[in-house]
Amino acid sequence: MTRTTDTSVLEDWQAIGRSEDVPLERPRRTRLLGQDILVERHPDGLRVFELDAGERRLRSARVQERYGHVFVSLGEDPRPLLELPEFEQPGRRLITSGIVTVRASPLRIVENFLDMAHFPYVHTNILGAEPHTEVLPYNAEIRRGVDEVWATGCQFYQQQAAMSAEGGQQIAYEYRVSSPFITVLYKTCPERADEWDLIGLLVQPLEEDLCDVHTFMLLFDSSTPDIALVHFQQTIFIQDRSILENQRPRLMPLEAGAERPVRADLTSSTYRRWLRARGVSFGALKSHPA
Amino acid sequence: MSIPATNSGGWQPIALSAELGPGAIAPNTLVDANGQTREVVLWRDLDAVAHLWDDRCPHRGMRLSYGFVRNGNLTCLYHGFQYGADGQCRYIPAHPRMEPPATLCTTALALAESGGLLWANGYDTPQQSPSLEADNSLQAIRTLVIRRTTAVTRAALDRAIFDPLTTRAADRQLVGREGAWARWRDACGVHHEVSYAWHEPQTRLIEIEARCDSGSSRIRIGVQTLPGERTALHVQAAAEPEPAGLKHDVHAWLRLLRFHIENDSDGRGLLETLR
Repeated sequence: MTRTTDTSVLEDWQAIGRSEDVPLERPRRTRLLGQDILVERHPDGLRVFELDAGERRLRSARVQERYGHVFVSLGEDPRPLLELPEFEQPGRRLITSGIVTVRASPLRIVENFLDMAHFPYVHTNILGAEPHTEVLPYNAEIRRGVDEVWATGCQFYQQQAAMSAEGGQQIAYEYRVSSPFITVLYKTCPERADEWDLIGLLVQPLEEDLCDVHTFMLLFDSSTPDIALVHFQQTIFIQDRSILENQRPRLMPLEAGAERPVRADLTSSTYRRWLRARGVSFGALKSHPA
Repeated sequence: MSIPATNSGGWQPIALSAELGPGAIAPNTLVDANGQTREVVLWRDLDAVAHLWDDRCPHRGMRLSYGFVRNGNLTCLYHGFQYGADGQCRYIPAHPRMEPPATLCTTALALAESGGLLWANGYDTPQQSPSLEADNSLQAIRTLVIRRTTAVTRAALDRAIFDPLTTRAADRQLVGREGAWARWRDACGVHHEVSYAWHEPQTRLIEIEARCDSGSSRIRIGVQTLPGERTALHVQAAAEPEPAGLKHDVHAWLRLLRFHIENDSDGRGLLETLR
């Protein structure tokens, strides 16, 4: 496909990789929202170019480096990137687990991340297991001002919530969607009762139904080796991919009634409502005129 | 030959009944006359009744063919929603004490079971469903996918399928020995009379019957159009007296048949060479 005309997502920042994925002398050729781009690191910083079909540089795009990742916007005046003050906290470890390519709409990938009810069936004996399937009431809202989706008061019984968790326990969650393809969850930290562990999902939409997904963990965990954390995260996400690539239609219907939410889907319903209000069409099923 | 003429009215065989036991779940794809496709799930409940539904959970669109049967209900892999034989959601694990809303219901399609085959009619207004005589002597052999359109497959079948010389010659060339079909035929002592017919207007069913003084053999093939210029042959067979290893022999013969069809799309080529 070609560069999207969906201005609502063009005016956001999107992750295109980790900082170390774009070293000096090794430009990263990738795609964002249907547009081929080239990301180069120079001694004085990063530069991004939109490419035409003949690989010629059409124009430069905006770029910034934060939270260990490179973010690009193809827009003129992008909304600010989300604030994550936890990145300044001493003692936290940043773990990234590489790119997973998923043949699915970025909206479905984010929605799956916001969902607790699938834990016992998709992440069996890790993030959940029968008979602990109930999703207790929680709150979800669109926060004005920051214009973000938040779900709070979420909890779920988990067998192994994290590598540092021992045995099953009731885990608390908060979910945050800061832009249509960027979401962070805050989760009970097994090591520090007064802190959250953060898990971020940075979806790079290549096309409407094809994404590179970048994830990070920002944890207080003084014992688990990096490789075990990476394996944990990859296991979870590969399980999710088997679902995401088999949802039909691939593009997410935003019209009410096209799919049947239940009360446990309050976060997803709020996310969809927020997408409609923003006028997001990238990754969404286009309604056909009668 | 004793199959009543049936008006299939757009019905297509989509699977062998024997391949879908109680509790089994299988994805399938229907293709209509215009080439439009529809992804469906075929499953059989614990009362042995088969069902054909759109292959998506109404909750989040997950393909139900990835699911499992629990409490006799088809259960979605994503969130464990359970759907009963009537398509109605019976249980939502996230809300164990809640009665599922009546709107949470799968989309069912017409399905008929007849003559050892499951028949679908996903698009046209279902006319009278196929009703073949029950025949317990037929054994399900296998479903064979041919990488050719249904029209090409039909034409190649017409030319090659029961030309004994061709089959025997091809057996020698390809297998290096007297082939399975020939062995079977010889075992039955069948040399005298072979009949071969397409049945019903849509030509979705072939019956081949061979008879002689000492016995008879029979093959029934249901023909299904698949997407991507492919065709499925759902094959059953019977022989009287039954030779040892009937199933094995028909398997071997079918592989050969596929080779013929996939290499004989213009009616020349390999077959001419082998003659």
